[in-house]
Amino acid sequence: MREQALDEVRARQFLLGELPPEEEGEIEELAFEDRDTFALLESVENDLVDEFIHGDLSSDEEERFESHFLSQPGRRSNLKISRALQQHLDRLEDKPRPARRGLLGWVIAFATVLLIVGLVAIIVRVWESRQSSQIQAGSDKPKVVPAPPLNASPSQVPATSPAPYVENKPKSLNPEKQRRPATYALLSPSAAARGEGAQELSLPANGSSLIIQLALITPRKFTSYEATLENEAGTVLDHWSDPGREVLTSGEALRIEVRTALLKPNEFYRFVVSGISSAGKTEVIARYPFETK
Amino acid sequence: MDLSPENFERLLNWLHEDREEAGKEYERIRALLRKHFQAHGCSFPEKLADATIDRVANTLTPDEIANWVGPKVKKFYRVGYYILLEARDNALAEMQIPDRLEVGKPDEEIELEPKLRCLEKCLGKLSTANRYLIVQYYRGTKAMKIRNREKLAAELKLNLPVLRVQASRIRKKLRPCIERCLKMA
Repeated sequence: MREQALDEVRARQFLLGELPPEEEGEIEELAFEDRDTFALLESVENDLVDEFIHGDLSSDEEERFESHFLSQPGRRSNLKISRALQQHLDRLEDKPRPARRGLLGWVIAFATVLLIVGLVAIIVRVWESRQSSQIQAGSDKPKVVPAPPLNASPSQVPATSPAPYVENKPKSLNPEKQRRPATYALLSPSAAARGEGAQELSLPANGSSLIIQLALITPRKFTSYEATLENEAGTVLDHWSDPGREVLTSGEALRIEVRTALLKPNEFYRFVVSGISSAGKTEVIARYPFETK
Repeated sequence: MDLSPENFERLLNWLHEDREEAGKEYERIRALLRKHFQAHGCSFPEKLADATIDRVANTLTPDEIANWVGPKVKKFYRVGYYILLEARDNALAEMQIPDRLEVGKPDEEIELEPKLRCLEKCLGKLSTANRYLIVQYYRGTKAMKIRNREKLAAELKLNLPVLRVQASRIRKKLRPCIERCLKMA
């Protein structure tokens, strides 16, 4: 690389149009003849764009950036790309990086695996427990929901019948006063799209609402959460700010009461849960797709 | 821009007063341009060489014609640099980047999600080492960013300019993928 011919200071001056025409011409020639010089200019160009995005340029540089730099071919699209990339990398900043966290990373990864295994185990037990209680319920027996075991199952049992899955029962709720909802389902995060094995949810024949628990499988802690219900097209149907949290044996879950009128049979929906950090930053942390029956 | 016969004639006269010599010079310059575009990894070096010649022919000023000092091929190189910049984006020329992506506000978080997921896939296509380099390279702001880069350079046993160019090359690899993401979003 001809670093002696073009240093970063001159490269920066060139890109901002601060050099006299003769010097400018020399750099253009050099950049065309020499790939490394061209690459150096590109890297300085990228840095300038980053500094502009972060507001790190002086007012004079900013003016030149807008009047000269952005007038050159490809620079505006580079700015858009940089914004998108930086935005994404900023988000990554907030996420754990297991590969570089050493022991802490492994501990978090291990804890996450344990959490997931525990969750799956408890759901299987709950499902089995509900199966047996539903058999006792006789004519109210719901349709059999096929695998995977995480699928939501309706529990259309009378309020006086034994609670079908004690382990998932919220600790904060008084069992005496608790009125069982028409349907109670636990959803777990997934990236599944329609027809890709999203959890199934049977809509209750009667009842104006159903209770959904959204398992929180994230190693991070947030001050509060938000949840939205979207249809397949991504249209937001409902929104919950700071929904109630429940402590399950396998971890935490958000408890959401959904109006059944929002849901149609044989449709695909998803809950999108965002966490709000102590700094007030909102971040989407999980999606819970499901298909109605 | 198409090359008019008048401008072509003017170019040949500038290259050499003798028509035969001018023709030879034209071919020599065209071959040099082609070679350099090829060296820059351009897919269609001949097309770009012709575009450069056309641009020079159409933009030569009377002052340049009268007072040019030094090898005239330099004029083509200067224009060639900008043709290169255009070529860098040429593969993406048909793609329209939605203007609404200009500013990312926090309340657009949900709307931007598909794009961000797409970007994550782009990063996922990089090798672990490249992904690590690019993520670390862009960490932090201002002084923190500079310190991060110094640490990263030391960690990777590179000097800062080389690290900068490496980051730029990785970003160049990412660019088409990110463009597609922006288009899809």
